[in-house]
Amino acid sequence: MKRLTKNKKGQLFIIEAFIAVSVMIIMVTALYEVQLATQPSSEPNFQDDVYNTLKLLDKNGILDEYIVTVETGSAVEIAKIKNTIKQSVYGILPDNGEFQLFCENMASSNVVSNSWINQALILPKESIGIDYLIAEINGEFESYVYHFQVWLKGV
Amino acid sequence: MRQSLFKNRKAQVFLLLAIVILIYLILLSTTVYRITQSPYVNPAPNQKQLSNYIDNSITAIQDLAEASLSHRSTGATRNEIIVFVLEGLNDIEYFLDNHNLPSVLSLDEVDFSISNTSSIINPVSIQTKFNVTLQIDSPDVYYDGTFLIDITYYVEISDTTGSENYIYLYKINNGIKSMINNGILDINPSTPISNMGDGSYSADLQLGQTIMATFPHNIILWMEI
Repeated sequence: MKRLTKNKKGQLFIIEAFIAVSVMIIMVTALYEVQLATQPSSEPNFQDDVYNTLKLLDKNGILDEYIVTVETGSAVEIAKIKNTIKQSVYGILPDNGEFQLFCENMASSNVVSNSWINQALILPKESIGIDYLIAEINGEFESYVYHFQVWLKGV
Repeated sequence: MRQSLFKNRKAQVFLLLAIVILIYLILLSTTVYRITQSPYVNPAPNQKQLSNYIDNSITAIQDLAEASLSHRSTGATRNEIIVFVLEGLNDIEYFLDNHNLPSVLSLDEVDFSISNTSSIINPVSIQTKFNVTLQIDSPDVYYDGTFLIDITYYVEISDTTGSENYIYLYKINNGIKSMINNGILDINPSTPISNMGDGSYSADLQLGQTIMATFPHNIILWMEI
Protein backbone atom coordinates (compact mmCIF):
# COMPACT_ATOMS: atom_id res chain seq x y z
CA MET A 1 0.00 0.00 0.00
CA LYS A 2 2.90 2.32 0.85
CA ARG A 3 4.45 1.70 -2.53
CA LEU A 4 1.10 2.25 -4.15
CA THR A 5 0.60 5.63 -2.50
CA LYS A 6 4.12 6.70 -3.39
CA ASN A 7 3.72 5.64 -6.97
CA LYS A 8 2.15 8.53 -8.88
CA LYS A 9 0.18 6.25 -11.16
CA GLY A 10 -0.96 4.23 -8.18
CA GLN A 11 -2.27 7.41 -6.54
CA LEU A 12 -4.19 8.24 -9.69
CA PHE A 13 -5.66 4.76 -9.74
CA ILE A 14 -6.78 5.10 -6.15
CA ILE A 15 -8.43 8.42 -6.91
CA GLU A 16 -10.07 6.90 -9.94
CA ALA A 17 -11.28 4.00 -7.86
CA PHE A 18 -12.76 6.38 -5.28
CA ILE A 19 -14.49 8.38 -7.97
CA ALA A 20 -15.89 5.21 -9.49
CA VAL A 21 -17.12 3.99 -6.13
CA SER A 22 -18.68 7.40 -5.33
CA VAL A 23 -20.49 7.47 -8.68
CA MET A 24 -21.77 3.97 -8.03
CA ILE A 25 -23.00 4.92 -4.53
CA ILE A 26 -24.82 7.97 -5.89
CA MET A 27 -26.40 5.95 -8.68
CA VAL A 28 -27.49 3.14 -6.41
CA THR A 29 -28.90 5.59 -3.83
CA ALA A 30 -30.75 7.52 -6.52
CA LEU A 31 -32.20 4.34 -8.00
CA TYR A 32 -33.23 3.12 -4.56
CA GLU A 33 -34.99 6.37 -3.70
CA VAL A 34 -36.80 6.52 -7.03
CA GLN A 35 -37.97 2.97 -6.42
CA LEU A 36 -39.20 3.89 -2.92
CA ALA A 37 -41.02 6.95 -4.18
CA THR A 38 -42.78 5.11 -6.96
CA GLN A 39 -43.58 1.93 -5.03
CA PRO A 40 -47.17 2.18 -3.78
CA SER A 41 -47.43 1.39 -0.08
CA SER A 42 -49.68 -1.51 0.74
CA GLU A 43 -49.72 -0.62 4.44
CA PRO A 44 -52.97 0.77 5.75
CA ASN A 45 -52.47 3.94 7.73
CA PHE A 46 -55.02 3.71 10.50
CA GLN A 47 -52.92 3.85 13.63
CA ASP A 48 -54.53 7.01 14.91
CA ASP A 49 -58.09 5.99 14.03
CA VAL A 50 -57.75 2.59 15.66
CA TYR A 51 -55.89 4.04 18.64
CA ASN A 52 -58.57 6.70 19.20
CA THR A 53 -61.30 4.06 18.95
CA LEU A 54 -59.52 1.96 21.57
CA LYS A 55 -59.14 5.01 23.79
CA LEU A 56 -62.84 5.73 23.49
CA LEU A 57 -63.73 2.12 24.25
CA ASP A 58 -61.42 2.32 27.27
CA LYS A 59 -63.01 5.56 28.45
CA ASN A 60 -66.45 4.00 28.21
CA GLY A 61 -65.33 0.98 30.21
CA ILE A 62 -65.77 -1.45 27.30
CA LEU A 63 -62.17 -2.69 27.41
CA ASP A 64 -62.46 -3.47 31.14
CA GLU A 65 -65.81 -5.13 30.57
CA TYR A 66 -64.34 -7.17 27.72
CA ILE A 67 -61.68 -8.74 29.93
CA VAL A 68 -64.16 -9.47 32.72
CA THR A 69 -66.68 -10.93 30.27
CA VAL A 70 -64.28 -13.18 28.37
CA GLU A 71 -62.94 -14.50 31.68
CA THR A 72 -66.21 -14.99 33.53
CA GLY A 73 -69.15 -14.31 31.19
CA SER A 74 -71.50 -16.65 29.37
CA ALA A 75 -71.11 -17.47 25.67
CA VAL A 76 -73.93 -15.06 24.83
CA GLU A 77 -72.34 -12.23 26.82
CA ILE A 78 -68.95 -12.89 25.22
CA ALA A 79 -70.46 -12.86 21.73
CA LYS A 80 -72.29 -9.63 22.52
CA ILE A 81 -69.25 -7.72 23.73
CA LYS A 82 -67.10 -9.06 20.88
CA ASN A 83 -69.71 -7.73 18.53
CA THR A 84 -69.51 -4.31 20.20
CA ILE A 85 -65.74 -4.19 19.64
CA LYS A 86 -66.07 -5.50 16.08
CA GLN A 87 -68.62 -2.83 15.21
CA SER A 88 -66.45 -0.09 16.68
CA VAL A 89 -63.28 -1.17 14.86
CA TYR A 90 -64.90 -2.03 11.52
CA GLY A 91 -66.73 1.29 11.76
CA ILE A 92 -63.50 3.23 11.34
CA LEU A 93 -61.89 0.91 8.78
CA PRO A 94 -62.64 1.02 5.05
CA ASP A 95 -64.80 -1.72 3.55
CA ASN A 96 -61.78 -3.91 2.84
CA GLY A 97 -60.29 -3.32 6.30
CA GLU A 98 -59.70 -6.32 8.53
CA PHE A 99 -58.35 -6.85 12.02
CA GLN A 100 -57.33 -9.45 14.53
CA LEU A 101 -57.23 -9.03 18.30
CA PHE A 102 -56.23 -10.84 21.44
CA CYS A 103 -55.48 -9.83 25.03
CA GLU A 104 -52.48 -10.68 27.14
CA ASN A 105 -52.28 -10.72 30.92
CA MET A 106 -49.05 -8.86 31.77
CA ALA A 107 -48.53 -10.59 35.12
CA SER A 108 -48.60 -14.09 33.63
CA SER A 109 -47.70 -13.22 30.02
CA ASN A 110 -50.53 -15.56 29.00
CA VAL A 111 -53.03 -14.88 26.28
CA VAL A 112 -56.50 -14.55 27.78
CA SER A 113 -58.47 -17.50 26.50
CA ASN A 114 -61.60 -16.50 24.59
CA SER A 115 -60.14 -13.03 24.00
CA TRP A 116 -59.39 -13.67 20.33
CA ILE A 117 -61.41 -11.90 17.68
CA ASN A 118 -60.94 -13.12 14.10
CA GLN A 119 -58.38 -15.68 15.22
CA ALA A 120 -58.99 -17.79 12.11
CA LEU A 121 -57.91 -15.01 9.77
CA ILE A 122 -54.49 -15.42 8.25
CA LEU A 123 -52.29 -12.39 8.71
CA PRO A 124 -51.12 -10.91 5.42
CA LYS A 125 -47.48 -10.15 4.70
CA GLU A 126 -47.93 -6.60 5.93
CA SER A 127 -50.18 -5.31 8.65
CA ILE A 128 -50.12 -2.65 11.32
CA GLY A 129 -49.55 -3.72 14.90
CA ILE A 130 -51.21 -1.66 17.62
CA ASP A 131 -50.92 -2.46 21.30
CA TYR A 132 -53.07 -0.86 23.99
CA LEU A 133 -52.39 -1.10 27.70
CA ILE A 134 -54.98 -1.00 30.46
CA ALA A 135 -53.75 -0.98 34.06
CA GLU A 136 -57.00 -1.45 35.95
CA ILE A 137 -59.92 -3.85 35.73
CA ASN A 138 -63.06 -3.07 37.68
CA GLY A 139 -61.07 -1.31 40.42
CA GLU A 140 -58.29 -3.91 40.62
CA PHE A 141 -54.64 -3.23 39.80
CA GLU A 142 -54.39 -5.61 36.86
CA SER A 143 -52.52 -4.91 33.62
CA TYR A 144 -53.59 -6.28 30.26
CA VAL A 145 -52.36 -5.52 26.76
CA TYR A 146 -54.71 -5.54 23.79
CA HIS A 147 -52.80 -6.69 20.69
CA PHE A 148 -54.30 -5.53 17.40
CA GLN A 149 -53.27 -6.29 13.83
CA VAL A 150 -54.98 -4.22 11.15
CA TRP A 151 -54.71 -4.56 7.38
CA LEU A 152 -56.48 -4.06 4.07
CA LYS A 153 -57.75 -7.06 2.13
CA GLY A 154 -56.71 -7.38 -1.51
CA VAL A 155 -53.94 -4.76 -1.34
CA MET B 1 -4.80 4.26 -17.12
CA ARG B 2 -7.45 1.61 -16.86
CA GLN B 3 -5.06 -0.96 -18.19
CA SER B 4 -2.50 0.07 -15.59
CA LEU B 5 -5.12 -0.16 -12.86
CA PHE B 6 -5.93 -3.71 -13.75
CA LYS B 7 -2.26 -4.56 -13.97
CA ASN B 8 -1.47 -3.04 -10.57
CA ARG B 9 -2.22 -5.83 -8.14
CA LYS B 10 -2.63 -3.69 -5.03
CA ALA B 11 -4.94 -1.29 -6.81
CA GLN B 12 -7.01 -4.24 -7.98
CA VAL B 13 -7.26 -5.48 -4.41
CA PHE B 14 -8.20 -2.01 -3.24
CA LEU B 15 -10.88 -1.64 -5.87
CA LEU B 16 -12.28 -5.04 -5.04
CA LEU B 17 -12.30 -4.17 -1.38
CA ALA B 18 -14.11 -0.90 -2.11
CA ILE B 19 -16.79 -2.74 -4.10
CA VAL B 20 -17.29 -5.31 -1.34
CA ILE B 21 -17.61 -2.55 1.28
CA LEU B 22 -20.10 -0.75 -0.96
CA ILE B 23 -22.24 -3.88 -1.32
CA TYR B 24 -22.18 -4.38 2.45
CA LEU B 25 -23.19 -0.77 3.01
CA ILE B 26 -26.12 -1.08 0.60
CA LEU B 27 -27.30 -4.31 2.22
CA LEU B 28 -26.96 -2.82 5.70
CA SER B 29 -28.83 0.37 4.88
CA THR B 30 -31.62 -1.61 3.16
CA THR B 31 -32.02 -3.87 6.18
CA VAL B 32 -32.01 -0.97 8.67
CA TYR B 33 -34.55 0.89 6.56
CA ARG B 34 -36.87 -2.09 6.39
CA ILE B 35 -36.68 -2.73 10.13
CA THR B 36 -37.33 0.89 11.11
CA GLN B 37 -40.22 1.25 8.66
CA SER B 38 -41.92 -2.02 9.48
CA PRO B 39 -45.39 -1.65 10.98
CA TYR B 40 -45.05 -4.77 13.09
CA VAL B 41 -44.84 -4.65 16.85
CA ASN B 42 -41.47 -6.23 17.53
CA PRO B 43 -39.31 -4.03 15.30
CA ALA B 44 -39.21 -0.32 15.97
CA PRO B 45 -42.64 1.32 15.77
CA ASN B 46 -43.13 4.42 13.68
CA GLN B 47 -43.50 7.93 15.09
CA LYS B 48 -47.31 7.82 15.23
CA GLN B 49 -47.22 4.62 17.21
CA LEU B 50 -44.59 6.02 19.55
CA SER B 51 -46.71 9.05 20.41
CA ASN B 52 -49.76 6.81 20.86
CA TYR B 53 -47.84 4.58 23.27
CA ILE B 54 -46.82 7.60 25.34
CA ASP B 55 -50.43 8.80 25.38
CA ASN B 56 -51.54 5.29 26.33
CA SER B 57 -49.13 5.24 29.27
CA ILE B 58 -50.76 8.44 30.56
CA THR B 59 -54.24 6.87 30.40
CA ALA B 60 -52.79 3.85 32.22
CA ILE B 61 -51.57 6.16 35.01
CA GLN B 62 -55.15 7.42 35.25
CA ASP B 63 -56.25 3.78 35.52
CA LEU B 64 -53.97 3.40 38.53
CA ALA B 65 -55.63 6.41 40.17
CA GLU B 66 -59.09 4.84 39.67
CA ALA B 67 -57.89 1.54 41.13
CA SER B 68 -56.39 3.44 44.08
CA LEU B 69 -59.75 5.07 44.81
CA SER B 70 -61.51 1.73 44.55
CA HIS B 71 -59.10 0.13 47.03
CA ARG B 72 -59.35 3.09 49.38
CA SER B 73 -63.15 2.94 49.29
CA THR B 74 -63.00 -0.67 50.40
CA GLY B 75 -60.60 0.01 53.26
CA ALA B 76 -57.03 -0.23 51.92
CA THR B 77 -54.41 1.92 53.63
CA ARG B 78 -52.31 4.60 51.92
CA ASN B 79 -49.16 2.47 52.14
CA GLU B 80 -50.87 -0.60 50.66
CA ILE B 81 -52.14 1.52 47.78
CA ILE B 82 -48.68 3.02 47.12
CA VAL B 83 -47.25 -0.50 46.76
CA PHE B 84 -49.92 -1.34 44.16
CA VAL B 85 -49.35 1.93 42.29
CA LEU B 86 -45.60 1.25 42.12
CA GLU B 87 -46.28 -2.23 40.70
CA GLY B 88 -48.61 -0.68 38.15
CA LEU B 89 -45.96 1.85 37.14
CA ASN B 90 -43.54 -1.06 36.64
CA ASP B 91 -46.04 -2.63 34.24
CA ILE B 92 -46.29 0.64 32.29
CA GLU B 93 -42.48 0.88 32.14
CA TYR B 94 -42.31 -2.70 30.87
CA PHE B 95 -44.94 -1.94 28.22
CA LEU B 96 -43.01 1.11 26.99
CA ASP B 97 -39.69 -0.74 27.08
CA ASN B 98 -41.21 -3.45 24.89
CA HIS B 99 -42.04 -0.83 22.29
CA ASN B 100 -38.53 0.59 22.01
CA LEU B 101 -39.29 3.35 24.50
CA PRO B 102 -36.89 2.82 27.41
CA SER B 103 -38.63 4.64 30.23
CA VAL B 104 -38.45 5.50 33.89
CA LEU B 105 -41.67 6.23 35.77
CA SER B 106 -41.32 7.66 39.24
CA LEU B 107 -43.98 8.32 41.83
CA ASP B 108 -43.63 11.18 44.28
CA GLU B 109 -44.48 9.06 47.33
CA VAL B 110 -44.13 11.94 49.81
CA ASP B 111 -46.90 13.96 48.20
CA PHE B 112 -49.12 10.95 47.45
CA SER B 113 -52.49 11.61 49.08
CA ILE B 114 -55.66 9.58 49.22
CA SER B 115 -58.54 10.29 51.56
CA ASN B 116 -62.27 10.24 51.99
CA THR B 117 -64.60 12.48 53.94
CA SER B 118 -66.98 11.49 56.69
CA SER B 119 -70.16 9.72 55.54
CA ILE B 120 -72.35 12.23 57.40
CA ILE B 121 -71.14 15.30 55.52
CA ASN B 122 -72.96 16.38 52.36
CA PRO B 123 -71.36 15.95 49.84
CA VAL B 124 -69.40 12.79 50.60
CA SER B 125 -66.22 12.51 48.59
CA ILE B 126 -63.11 10.43 48.00
CA GLN B 127 -59.99 11.93 46.51
CA THR B 128 -56.54 10.94 45.31
CA LYS B 129 -53.78 13.30 44.31
CA PHE B 130 -50.25 12.41 43.22
CA ASN B 131 -47.45 13.21 40.79
CA VAL B 132 -45.86 10.79 38.35
CA THR B 133 -42.81 11.67 36.28
CA LEU B 134 -42.29 9.92 32.96
CA GLN B 135 -38.87 9.99 31.32
CA ILE B 136 -38.13 8.36 28.00
CA ASP B 137 -34.70 8.48 26.46
CA SER B 138 -34.48 6.56 23.20
CA PRO B 139 -32.91 7.25 19.81
CA ASP B 140 -36.43 7.97 18.50
CA VAL B 141 -37.95 9.95 21.33
CA TYR B 142 -36.86 12.06 24.26
CA TYR B 143 -39.65 12.78 26.71
CA ASP B 144 -39.69 14.20 30.20
CA GLY B 145 -43.02 15.10 31.73
CA THR B 146 -44.69 15.20 35.14
CA PHE B 147 -48.37 14.41 35.44
CA LEU B 148 -50.52 15.62 38.27
CA ILE B 149 -53.32 13.20 38.97
CA ASP B 150 -56.17 14.76 40.93
CA ILE B 151 -59.45 12.83 40.91
CA THR B 152 -62.37 13.21 43.32
CA TYR B 153 -65.70 11.35 43.28
CA TYR B 154 -68.74 12.86 44.98
CA VAL B 155 -72.16 11.84 46.24
CA GLU B 156 -74.32 14.85 46.94
CA ILE B 157 -77.98 15.08 47.91
CA SER B 158 -80.54 17.82 47.61
CA ASP B 159 -82.57 18.61 50.72
CA THR B 160 -84.78 15.89 52.12
CA THR B 161 -88.00 17.89 52.36
CA GLY B 162 -90.94 16.70 50.31
CA SER B 163 -90.96 13.44 48.37
CA GLU B 164 -88.99 14.53 45.29
CA ASN B 165 -85.33 14.60 46.24
CA TYR B 166 -82.19 14.07 44.23
CA ILE B 167 -78.88 12.31 44.60
CA TYR B 168 -76.05 13.60 42.38
CA LEU B 169 -73.09 11.48 41.38
CA TYR B 170 -70.14 13.23 39.81
CA LYS B 171 -66.41 13.24 39.40
CA ILE B 172 -63.89 16.07 39.16
CA ASN B 173 -60.76 15.10 37.25
CA ASN B 174 -58.07 17.80 37.27
CA GLY B 175 -60.74 20.47 37.60
CA ILE B 176 -63.10 19.03 34.99
CA LYS B 177 -66.47 17.98 36.32
CA SER B 178 -68.38 15.11 34.76
CA MET B 179 -71.67 13.65 35.87
CA ILE B 180 -71.87 9.89 36.43
CA ASN B 181 -74.91 8.41 34.72
CA ASN B 182 -74.12 4.76 35.24
CA GLY B 183 -73.70 4.66 39.01
CA ILE B 184 -75.55 2.12 41.12
CA LEU B 185 -77.46 3.34 44.16
CA ASP B 186 -78.67 1.29 47.05
CA ILE B 187 -80.74 3.07 49.69
CA ASN B 188 -81.53 1.55 53.05
CA PRO B 189 -84.37 1.47 54.15
CA SER B 190 -85.27 0.85 50.56
CA THR B 191 -86.99 3.45 48.39
CA PRO B 192 -87.61 3.59 44.61
CA ILE B 193 -84.86 5.38 42.62
CA SER B 194 -85.13 6.86 39.12
CA ASN B 195 -82.04 7.50 37.06
CA MET B 196 -82.65 10.87 35.38
CA GLY B 197 -79.82 10.28 32.88
CA ASP B 198 -77.90 13.43 33.73
CA GLY B 199 -76.01 12.28 36.78
CA SER B 200 -78.98 12.88 39.05
CA TYR B 201 -81.14 10.18 40.62
CA SER B 202 -84.59 10.91 41.96
CA ALA B 203 -85.73 9.31 45.22
CA ASP B 204 -87.90 10.03 48.23
CA LEU B 205 -85.17 10.57 50.81
CA GLN B 206 -85.84 10.40 54.55
CA LEU B 207 -83.65 11.23 57.51
CA GLY B 208 -81.93 8.13 58.87
CA GLN B 209 -81.49 6.43 55.50
CA THR B 210 -78.12 5.22 54.24
CA ILE B 211 -77.05 5.56 50.60
CA MET B 212 -74.46 3.27 49.08
CA ALA B 213 -73.23 4.60 45.71
CA THR B 214 -71.12 2.36 43.48
CA PHE B 215 -69.28 4.27 40.77
CA PRO B 216 -67.57 2.80 37.70
CA HIS B 217 -64.19 1.20 38.61
CA ASN B 218 -65.93 -0.21 41.69
CA ILE B 219 -65.49 2.93 43.78
CA ILE B 220 -67.95 2.84 46.67
CA LEU B 221 -69.13 5.77 48.76
CA TRP B 222 -71.52 5.75 51.73
CA MET B 223 -73.70 8.58 52.87
CA GLU B 224 -75.82 8.73 56.00
CA ILE B 225 -78.74 11.11 55.73
